[in-house]
This record gives sequence, structure tokens and C-alpha cells, in this order.
Amino acid sequence: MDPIVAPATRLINQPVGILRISGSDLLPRFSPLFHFSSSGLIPEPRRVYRVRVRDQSGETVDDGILLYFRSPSSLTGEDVLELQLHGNPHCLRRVMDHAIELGARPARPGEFLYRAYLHHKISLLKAESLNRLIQAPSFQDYRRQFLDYSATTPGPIDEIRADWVDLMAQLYVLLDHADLGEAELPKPGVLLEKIDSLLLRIEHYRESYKKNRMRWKGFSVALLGPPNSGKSSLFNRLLGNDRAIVSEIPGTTRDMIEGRISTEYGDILLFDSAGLRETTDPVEEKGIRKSLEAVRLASLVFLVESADSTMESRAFPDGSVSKFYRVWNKSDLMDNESPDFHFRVSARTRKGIAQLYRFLEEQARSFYAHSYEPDDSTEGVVSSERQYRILSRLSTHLKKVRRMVGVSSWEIVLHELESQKAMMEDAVGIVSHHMVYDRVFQGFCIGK
Amino acid sequence: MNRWDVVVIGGGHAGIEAASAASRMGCRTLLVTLHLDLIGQMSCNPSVGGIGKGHIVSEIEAMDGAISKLADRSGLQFKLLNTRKGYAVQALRVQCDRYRYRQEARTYLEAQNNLHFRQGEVVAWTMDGKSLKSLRLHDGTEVFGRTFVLTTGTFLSGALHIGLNQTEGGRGGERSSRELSPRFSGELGLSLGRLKTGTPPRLSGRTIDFSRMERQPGDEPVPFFSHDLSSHRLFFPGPQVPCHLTATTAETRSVIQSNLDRSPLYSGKITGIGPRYCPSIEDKIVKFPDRESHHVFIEPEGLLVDEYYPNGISTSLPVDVQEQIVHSIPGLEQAMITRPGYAVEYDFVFPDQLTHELRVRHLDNLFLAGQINGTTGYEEAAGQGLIAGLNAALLVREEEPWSPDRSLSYIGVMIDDLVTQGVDEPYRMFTSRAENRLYIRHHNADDRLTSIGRELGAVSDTQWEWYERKRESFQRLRSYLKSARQGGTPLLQLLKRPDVTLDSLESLPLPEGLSEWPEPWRIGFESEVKYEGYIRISQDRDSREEEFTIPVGIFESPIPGLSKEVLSRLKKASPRTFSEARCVRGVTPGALDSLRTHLKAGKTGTSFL
Repeated sequence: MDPIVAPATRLINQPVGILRISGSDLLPRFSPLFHFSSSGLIPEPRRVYRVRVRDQSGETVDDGILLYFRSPSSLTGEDVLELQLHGNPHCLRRVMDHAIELGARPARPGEFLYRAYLHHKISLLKAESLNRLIQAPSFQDYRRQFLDYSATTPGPIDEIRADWVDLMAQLYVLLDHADLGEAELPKPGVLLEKIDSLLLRIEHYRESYKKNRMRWKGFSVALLGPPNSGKSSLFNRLLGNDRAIVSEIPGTTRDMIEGRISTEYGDILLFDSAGLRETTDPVEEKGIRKSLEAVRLASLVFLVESADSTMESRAFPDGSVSKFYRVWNKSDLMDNESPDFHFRVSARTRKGIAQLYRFLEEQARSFYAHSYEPDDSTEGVVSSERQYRILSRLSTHLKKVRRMVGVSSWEIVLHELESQKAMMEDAVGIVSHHMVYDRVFQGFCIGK
Repeated sequence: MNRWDVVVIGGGHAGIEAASAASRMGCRTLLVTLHLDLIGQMSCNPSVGGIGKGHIVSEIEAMDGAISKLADRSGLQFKLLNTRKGYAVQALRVQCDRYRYRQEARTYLEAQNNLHFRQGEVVAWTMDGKSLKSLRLHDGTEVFGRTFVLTTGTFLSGALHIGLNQTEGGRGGERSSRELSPRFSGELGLSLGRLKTGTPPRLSGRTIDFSRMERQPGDEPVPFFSHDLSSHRLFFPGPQVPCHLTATTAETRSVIQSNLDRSPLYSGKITGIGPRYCPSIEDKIVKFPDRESHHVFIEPEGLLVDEYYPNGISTSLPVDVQEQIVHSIPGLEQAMITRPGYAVEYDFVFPDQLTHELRVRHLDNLFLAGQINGTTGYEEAAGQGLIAGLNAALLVREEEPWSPDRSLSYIGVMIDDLVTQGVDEPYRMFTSRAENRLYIRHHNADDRLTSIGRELGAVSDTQWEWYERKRESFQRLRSYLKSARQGGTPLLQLLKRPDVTLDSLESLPLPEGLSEWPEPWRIGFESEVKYEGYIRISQDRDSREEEFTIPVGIFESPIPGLSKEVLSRLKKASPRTFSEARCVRGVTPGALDSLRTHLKAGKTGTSFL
């Protein structure tokens, strides 16, 4: 595929910065990027080389390490070049520009992983699991994800597929092998039992996902308040106050994680939100709805107000009041002595910010220590929203099929079951006729 | 003069159909076969049809083919199967008189204009570039043809096994073509594999005690395959001949278990892969050791012979063990074996080397049909024979080739499976293979195929007129049922309900002539109405990207995201639509994504339907 380039580390000042290029036939196309001490050397795959790196003008701009992986034995299944350089963002950008001039294009978010998926280096299920592993907000979570990621035993999706295949096999037998005789043929009761047990299994995994989804969120804090109360300034101040920021994820709308502070106990996930007020603008209204959803999911909510922007009481969202903390911002402009406010801060002058931050840290510690019991079960979990949704649809569909058993004739039941085959395959991978027939032959003595 | 439009090699069920189709389409056709007296030999069980297979027969009939008529004319017993399920999966099975069938086949073929016979063994051929030019027979005769259809069944390097003895042969008592296999892989560049199948011992009727078995009669009134009502009668006076049902016992099991070391299957002598759905009795015992008994159906071989086919105990064990097995079965305690069972191993051509028209991809004028392509069964063979024969004729007439779509017919499903997925065990038709099974039914095969067959020139005037009459009658009844009401509901709406039939409506004044409708019409009409709702829904569902057409030759160059292995599989299978690509073995969801992206991105003349 066409070559793509991206930094594998953030473009900030740090000791090491890594660039990766992936695509077909990278060499010699990208060899102008680097030169060896001995000229004319062509790198062998899977070896480490000390190289000097050049920019577009041919000038040496850095020295570092080169790794070369040849297709298909690489991360993405294509040729991969990895340059480990000094972590100066300006230099890294310059080397990247050179790579772009040589024909690479900047990778889109997640494109390396996507290519790995396209080249069968990683399944969709594994990719999802990997993503969650990287995003895990605490070590406990990480560990659970790692177990899931490295599991060799069949996961929930495999079990569900096996059940599904079994169900199909029963119907195949009913349709094509009536000569087995009444006694051998599957009965409606057996089919109902199988559907029920599959439904139970799906329900079980959906429940465990719902439970885990909540936990997985980690310790989260939503900033809520009327427009112009200084929420965003406070948000930036809280993030910027701490040197240990690990990431800012822009606009991952599903998770709404907008900022993350890593503490030794676990991450504090910060959500900024749209200002709350009555509005008729549909776009703004959508933002407000999202804010309210964030409030529902957050472990803790800061209601931020200031002298020029106070909350109208009717605009207060419903929810458990215990997780609400009122914060009086812009206290440098006008203080508020009212005991209704838990914190009085100024995002601009940093007044009270340290205190607020210590409070957050304390809350995070107790969140991860108590409300967050470690789960040592090695049972597989459904690990993505996508899988969860498919399971929900599958469950609805199976209930429909269930109602048809014993009422409609078998070919109609099978037709209904198969009608959602594509969806099932999205969830579990291809289910071929061959696979189902393997199951038929295991269970039934077919043939005259 | 030994110059022909179409030369068909092999006089089995594929050969008969190919020769008959080509000659119906006006081509000068020669049928070359090892033994003229054995045209239409039923070498396995004496029956035609069944679930899935019967569907194929009805489709052949819809194109005015042979197997349906031959089965009807030689039928001893007729039975509609799966009657407790919906019409879509019901199918007809006919127990045939093996001898009568052969005779009818010969008579049928002799009645075809343009068709001639030649007995002989093909020993060599000449090529002209990518075309086959002529065949040389064992007696030195050279036969020239514009197109060739090869239907050599199990005769390619056939080896018969009885116990640990092995002999050459294509099937019981006949010789096989040994010289051809190396030439296939050498001169024709075809890749060959090896398969295996088997038969049970045949039994002498007067030594069977039928009173100890369950009698299985045929259906009354007798259902037939053919449209032609004038042929709807038994070829013999009197009632249909029954089959009988008995079963193996614990003793059968212990006989087999203690003799497995003498089985060519379990001693490693047979390497060919057998059909799992048609296992030998030793297979059944080994795989399901807990089962006390397995069904055995005693089927008549012919009206004038006293020989029976015990369906269910196919075996390649030594003759003395076969005797013990037979004697352990109720009703067969005294039975005498007339000919022992055997297993046959044979070479086949991996069918993914063929186009959807069953032409060898890399050659211009050679078609393959039948068991040589890795299928089992007369019906599967005949279905392929029909398509190969039609396309050989189309090629002679320099017209566009034609092959049935898998959403329109079981023959289409079969051919598509064969050429896109290949086979790793003998291929047999099942209704479960057809995604569109609610639409492709036994009773509407003519609606799906007769007009196409007529256009191609394979359907006779009589059959075409009959079909038009049927459509017209259906139309009349339909418009009547639309307008007539009962309790405010149109009758057509009523008929959609599962419990309502045309018979149950008959207290109402239905239009004249309905009482003269043949039974298949009534069922055909009812099922048309009853399945309508489901078919509309499923067509909506499928009409998305699955119809994405794939331009020819797209797999010749690399496609981003497709591994070399997947690409070569796709190249080999050359699927024509996205849904076909999805079925190619080894094509993962990831590969499909890449293909989809590529098809959408490229301005390669694709279209969304």
C-alpha cells in the first residue's frame, strides 16, 4: 500500500522521538533519509543500525537508530522503517517532511493498526482489545485488558459463534437430513433450549460489559456550569498544573475523555463541557445534551460559577447530588464567602488551584482503592462498544427467531436466522457453510 | 465425416445431459462412450432426486433436459420428501428400475436429431494452441470437434477396493481409463486430486424376509418430475413397488469392530477422501460407537430382476465380513450377496480451474462436467452436463456463454461453489447451501429457467406452450383472488396464511378450470403466494453492496491490502460479484474490506445495484 509516516511518540521535547514509515517496497525509495558510516550499505531486516539522518536539502540533522522490518514480518505486515531519534519536535517534523517529499503521506489516526488488520496481523477483536489495553486508566484495568489481549482460550465472541454454528447445524439437519428418522432429528424443544442458552450467554456478556464499561471509565471529573464561568480556563489550568499529563485526546466523542492526568493511583479523566443554558440553537443543544450525559457518567462533578455567570437553579441537572461540588471561579475578581461553595479558586491567578488539585488526587486515590475492586477473574470480556452493540442486536434478533420456532416451518426459521448472518459475521468473523457442516458431522450420523 | 460441433466423452448422467442439450440446440453432436450398452448406467443406488438433488432435477426439467423424463419413465416408486416442512425444501425422489432407466436413456438419445453415438476409448488427442482439435480412439479413429465435453466420471485411474484386494476399474465390472490421468495433468495442464466413494453389496430378493421390515410405500397420487402430463403414468401395470426399512444391530457393530484391520479404509490402503454425508457402514460404526443401530433401506433394483440395494451399508470390507454384516440385520439373516460392495478411488480435476460455464479456464473449447469435477450423484452430474452442453453449443454458435446465477437455481449454487471454492470432499447438493432457498423451489423451477432455456433454444415448443399456459392460468387465478373477498379480506391475503390452502378456499366460487389444474400447479401457486413476503424482504436486504460487480482481470495486479495468497485465490476463483468474493475460501473480513475500498475508490466501471 502507499507509504505512510507518523511519529510514534508525541511531538514534545523529550529524550527520544520515534518515526515510523509503513508501506510496500520502502527501500530504496526512502534510503535518502539516512546514511550509514559505510556507504552503499543496504540494511538487512531485523537488525539495528546506527545512522545519520538527513533533511530534504541533504543536510545531516540528527543521528540515531534505524530498524528495518520486511513484509510480511512486521507490525503492519508491510515493510516498516523505524527511526529512533532525539526527541526534538522541530527536527522530527523536518525529517518527516523529508519522508513526505520522498512519497510518504502523513498517517491518519490509527492507520498503522488498521494496516496490521488489513494484512491479517491482528484481528478486529484483538485490535479493539489492544486499544483498550493502551487506554486503560489504572494498572488493574491494564492487567485485565492484557489478560484479554493475550488470551489463547476462546473468548466470549468465540463461544457465541460456536453456539450460533451449532444452531445453524441443527437447522441444516432438519432441512436436509430428514432420512435420519424422527428419533434422531432435533426437536423444537432442543432448539429452544439452545437459543435460550445462547441468549443467556449474550445477556451475561452484555451485563459484564455494562459493569466493566462503567468501571473502565476510571475516575472521571466533569466540569459543568453556565457559559463564561471559566470552565475551560479551569480545565486547562488543572491539566497544565501538573507535569505528568500523559495525553490530551481531542474529540473522542464516544468516550468524551478530553484530558487526562496520570497519578500513581490511576488516571484522573477530565471532561470539559458546553455551557449550560436555555437555548434554541440545535447545535448548542446537542452539546448540552452531551454535557448532561457526561455528568451522568462522571465520578465527580464540579459545578463552576463566577460572579458574572451564575447558574439558574432550574438549569441544574438531575442526578446524585453527592457527587456535585460547587466551585466559585474568578475569585480574584469577586470573591464569594457563601458556604454553599466547596472551593473558591481563580484559574487565572492559580489561587486555590493547588488545594483543588490535592482534593482531586485524594478522591482518585480513594476511588481506585475502594470503589474500584480489582477483578481477578480470567473470564473473557466483551471489550468494545461495537461488540456490545452487535450483541444487543443479535439478542433482539434471536428473540424473534425464538418466537418462530414451532410456529413457522423450519426453512422459514433458518431463513430468519441467516438473515442476520452478515451482522453475526461482523461480530465474530466469517461463518462458512463448511464450518456449519463440520458441526453437523460431529453431532449427527448423516447419510444412508 | 468425423467432424462434429460438439463431442461428448462419456455416457453417464452428465454425458447424456450434455449431448442432449447440445443436440437440442441444433449442434451436430457425437457421444463417445466405452460401452454403448451401458449409457445411463446407475452405478450407485437406483434412485433419482431427494432433497437438494431433486431440486436440481426439477431445474433440468425446466430446461427440457433428460434426467427428469428418464426417472419418470423408469420409476418404480415416487415420493415427495420433507412434506412436513414448507414447500421450499420439499423435493421429489424416484426409485428407478436400473435396467429400464438405461433402456429409456438410449431410446431418448436416439430420438434426438443431430445426435450420434460411437463406442470407443479415447487414448490420445491433438491440440491446436489453446484448443483441443481432435481425439484418437483406441481403434485408431480420429474424431474432430469444435468443442469437447469431458464427462468421464470415476473412470480416471479408477481403483476398486474389496477388503485388501485392489483392482483397476471404474465401477462394478467395468474397466477404467488409466492412460488419461497423466495426460490430463501433463498435456492439458490440469491439477488432479483423488477421491473415494463406495457402494453396498447387492442382495438376492428371494433370500430376504421382507415381513420383518417396515414397508415404505410411494405417494398416491403419483408425483412426477416432468411437465408433460401424458407421460404421467407408471411404465408397468399395478401399484408402485415399495421399499423396506430395517436397521443394523449390536451384532453388526461387533462384526465390524473386530474386522477393522481388514478394511482398506482403516488400514490406510485408501487415501482418497470420501464423502462424509455418504459414509460407509464402517465409518458410521467408528465415528458413532455408542449407536446401537443405523437405518438400512432395501431398495428394488428393477421390476424384472430379483436384486436389491441395501442403502446404508456401503462397505469395502472383505466379502466374508460383508456376509456377516448382512446376516446380522433383521430380515437379512438368510440373505445372499449377488455382488459384493466395494469402494472406488478415482482422480478428479480440481474444479476451481473451470469457469462458471464449466470450461477449462486456460483452454478455449474444453468443458468438464460431472463426477470428474469432484461431485457425487447423478443429479449433480446431470446439472453440470446440461450447463456444459449448453455452453459448448453456444460456443459453436459464437454466442455469449450463459451460466445460472446462484440466487436463481441450485445448479447455479453448485457451479458457483465448485469453481469459486473448489472441493475437498465429494460435493453434494443440500438445500442449506442455497442462501436463496425460499425462492428457488422445486415447484417454480420453470418460472426461473424455462424462458432462459427457450431463449437459448434448448426448450421444445410443447414444453414452452405448456409453460405459457401455466403462467396464464396463474395470472388469471391471481387477479381473481385479488378482487374476490371473504369477510372483507381479499382471498389472496387469506392464502398467505400458513393454514389456508387452495383446497380450503374451494367452498368459494373459484374460477373455472381450477379443478383441472395438475397438483404441481396448485402447490406451485400456493407456495408462490405464501413465500412472497419473505422473498421481498430478503431481496431488499441483499440488494446492497453484495451486488457490487467486480471487473474482469482486476486480480491480475496487486490490490492494496490483499496478501499475495488471498490475491492468488481470488485470481483463481475470479469471482464476479462481491458476494462471490466473500465465499472464496481464505478471504478474510479484512481482505473484503480492502477489496471493497479498492472497488469504491477505483473508477473501474463498478456499479451499485
